[in-house]
Amino acid sequence: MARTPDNKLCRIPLAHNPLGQGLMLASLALLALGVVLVFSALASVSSSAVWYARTDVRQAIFAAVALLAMLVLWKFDYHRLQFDRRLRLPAVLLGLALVTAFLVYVPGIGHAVEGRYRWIRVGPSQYQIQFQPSEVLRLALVIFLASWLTRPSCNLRSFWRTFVPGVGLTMMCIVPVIKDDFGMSLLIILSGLVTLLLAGVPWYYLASLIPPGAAAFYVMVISKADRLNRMMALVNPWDMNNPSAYQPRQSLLAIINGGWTGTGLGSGLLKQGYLPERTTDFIFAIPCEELGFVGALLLLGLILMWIYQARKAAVTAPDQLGRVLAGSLGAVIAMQMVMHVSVASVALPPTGMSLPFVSAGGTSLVVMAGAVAIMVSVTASRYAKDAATEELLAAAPA
Amino acid sequence: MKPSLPGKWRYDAVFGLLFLCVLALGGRLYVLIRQNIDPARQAAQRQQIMTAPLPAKIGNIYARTYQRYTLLAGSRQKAFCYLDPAMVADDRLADTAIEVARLIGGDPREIQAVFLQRRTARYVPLRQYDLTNEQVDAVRKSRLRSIGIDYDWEREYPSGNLAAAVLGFRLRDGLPGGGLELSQQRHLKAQNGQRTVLADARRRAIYAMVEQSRPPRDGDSVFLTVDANIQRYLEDAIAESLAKYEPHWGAGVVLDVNTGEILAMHSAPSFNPNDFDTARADQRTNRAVTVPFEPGSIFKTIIAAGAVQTGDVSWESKYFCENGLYLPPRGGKVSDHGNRYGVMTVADIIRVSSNIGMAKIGATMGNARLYAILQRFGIGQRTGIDLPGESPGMVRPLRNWDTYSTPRVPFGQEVSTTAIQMTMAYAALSNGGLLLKPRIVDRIVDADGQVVYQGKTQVVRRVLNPAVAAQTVGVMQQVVEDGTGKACRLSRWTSFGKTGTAQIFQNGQLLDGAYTGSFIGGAPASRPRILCLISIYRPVRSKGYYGGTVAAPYVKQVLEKTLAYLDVPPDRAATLVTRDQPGRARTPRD
Repeated sequence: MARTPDNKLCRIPLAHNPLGQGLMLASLALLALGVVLVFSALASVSSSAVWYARTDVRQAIFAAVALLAMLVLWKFDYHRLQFDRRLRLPAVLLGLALVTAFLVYVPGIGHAVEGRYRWIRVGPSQYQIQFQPSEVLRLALVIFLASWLTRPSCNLRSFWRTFVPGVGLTMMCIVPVIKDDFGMSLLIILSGLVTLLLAGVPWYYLASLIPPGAAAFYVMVISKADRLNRMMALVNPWDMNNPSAYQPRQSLLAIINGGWTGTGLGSGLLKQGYLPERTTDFIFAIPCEELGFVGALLLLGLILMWIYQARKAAVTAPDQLGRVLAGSLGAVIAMQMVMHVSVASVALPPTGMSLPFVSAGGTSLVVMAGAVAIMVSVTASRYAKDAATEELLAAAPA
Repeated sequence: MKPSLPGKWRYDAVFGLLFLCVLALGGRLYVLIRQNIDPARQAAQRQQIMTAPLPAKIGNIYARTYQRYTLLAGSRQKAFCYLDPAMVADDRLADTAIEVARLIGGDPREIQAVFLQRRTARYVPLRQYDLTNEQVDAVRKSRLRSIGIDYDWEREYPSGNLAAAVLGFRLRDGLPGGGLELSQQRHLKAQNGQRTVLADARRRAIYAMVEQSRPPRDGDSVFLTVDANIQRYLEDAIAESLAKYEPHWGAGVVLDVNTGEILAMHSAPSFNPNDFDTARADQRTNRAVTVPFEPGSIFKTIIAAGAVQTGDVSWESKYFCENGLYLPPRGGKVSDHGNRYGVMTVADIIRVSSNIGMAKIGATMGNARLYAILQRFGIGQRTGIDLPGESPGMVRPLRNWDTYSTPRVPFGQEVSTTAIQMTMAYAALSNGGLLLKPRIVDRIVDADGQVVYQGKTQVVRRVLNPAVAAQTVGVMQQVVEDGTGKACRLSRWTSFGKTGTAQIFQNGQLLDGAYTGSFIGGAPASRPRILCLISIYRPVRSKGYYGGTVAAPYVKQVLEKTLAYLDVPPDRAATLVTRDQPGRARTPRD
């Protein structure tokens, strides 16, 4: 039933929005689990005198901030992101994100870890705020594409007017990232393409990208020894001569050391310096070892629940903007979850991919919370003339 | 009513695919855990478990000393330093090397070379530097992370070369190199412990794994029957003889005749086990058990006593000694070295040590019964003493004996024995007729103080009945009082003994002017308690070579000191000290 002048969209409170509650609770559960796992993963690191230098403390704080952001931001109507408004908020967001993404190369602000410029650091020493702009950029791209592709004047079937600019924009977004963050570049490309797909761009346009994309991927991989090593690590993680196989190997050891029921929360061994990226790219190995197969399955179950609800939020959305927004944000986040778990269980070559809501990293937590807030905002939007909505509104106190 | 928007299949496809991916990853985890469970667990353990040996202490060896014990061989905890090159930054290498060299008194260039060669090592022990306590403290206080102190056990022989031949030595790696160190190794040996630690990736200990760790097990301590003081008496006496007569070597044994306990045993020239590597191999051997030699006349008493025991001969049986030259049938020539004896009793034959008399006793007995006597006294057999490399000596099988053997075996030719063998045979003569097994290990006590072995007197067999044994002691007493062994007459105790001077038979012929001078003597004669044998091998002939000259005075010295030391009551009145009486026949020589 299409929108009619007298059947306006209205917003229902969270108390009467079980899907919104579910999304929030699933995200919240992941957030809480993340705080515990980060704390456990860092148990071997001596506590610093400066509280702010402690990643686990920061994680708890940012989890609280993320929770707050979720609870506040969902109240904003996602139609503010609609493309035909005057402000064109998504474009501004994307522009800002793009500019910020380039700032990582500016000396004094940009911060490199192991020679890779991915972060911006500002503020006094010891209390610096660290920020990864590519996280924001990716979601800003998704939001922009969703809103751009659902504007009334958009001709989805047009190759030159819709598909090519969409792909071009995506390619533009990987420019500041491609040099130092191959994994994130891939993720950005996939995010853009998924958004295009979910928005309704003909599937064969996208399929036509597969051959050149595969060729480009191949060239990218063989052009750099490190990337090739990573691919080989997937084939044989037990190869001691492959430096890139070290992390996957340690991750496998964590999974197997944990066994069916795990070593017990906090008593994992691989986090004792063996698994270098234990709080971020390989955090999934921590529950695998400490909580065992059972714990890992529970975490995967939580992820499944989250994916299920994200899909439901999308397919029950009242309009195309809501649907594409909720769907593409949900798909992008879910995709990242799947890729992270794949990397940790050595089903994909190691790429720096954090587990949304769980891995340490304030930017990621807050940005993910924002995305969930938008999805909840979509689920809170109903047509006033819907029978179910009317009933709900009648029951609710005014 | 819900609005129906187009393209729901796209959502179903994308989310369905993601959903399936998650399910597949769950399956992958299942497969991973199911398949690799053991090898990968071991791999994880290998990288995470760190072991370090906990050195255990090799057992001590003690000698008896008047109501106490003397440590002959012990282990000392020795500090040494190790380098941790991985802890030095490249730019600090030279400075650190200088600092380390200053601390341990080494050459900075050497230290730096170690740092460079073992750049990433975490543990490079430098055992070659002997550190003083001050240096150890200095290293500890230095707060340098590239050097540390560790401890090891080092074998030490605080009594120097006392009883070295018996003790043996240990190689630098702690393995036994001979003597008691070798024969008692299964008790002395230490079982190193192991500290097992769960380590993080930087090899720092997380916690100790108690169940996988093993404490070090120190070796058992061995308490010898050897008495440090008696050992010293024996060594001093042999040293004197060595200095005076310059023989190739000398060996000696002091024995408690009633228990078979070795009170002292020596082989000279000896060595210092602390510096075993500067000694020649022959210095390190214990000749008292490993080197057989022809006993010569000290053998006579055994044959005579054995013959009397059989009843074919008595101490009063008379033999004509052919006035100094005897040609036994198809037996070559036997002489008495210039002495011309007429008719003598068997007791006198022993007293003056007549070869011809013994040859005639041999003729009375015949080869088979002579052989039986040797067998009974354990000649040509190992005594079974707890020392490595014991020689059985040499007694040819009876079928190889001929008419030359009959006159010669009775005065100690054609057989060879070790010093310990002769001593044990004499112990049987003097203790009432029992052949004992020699004992050198008295007691073994483990690290917890539990006695794991207590030696006791072991009788091999009775070889003489007590009456014959007592008579034999009487005869041997005459040797000392009025025979070839006067040099061993003690002032406060009655003593007995027998001299022996054997020609050295080498490579099928007698060496010209080469003799082994031996004396075996015991005291007190009234109730024999100790026995001492000293054999001096190849003394310089011009300086003296008779057993009564090169050995007897020194046996006397040992016996007198030992008897006094053991508080053995004197059995000879001081007034009975006699001088050589004029008018007697000149002192017979061997």
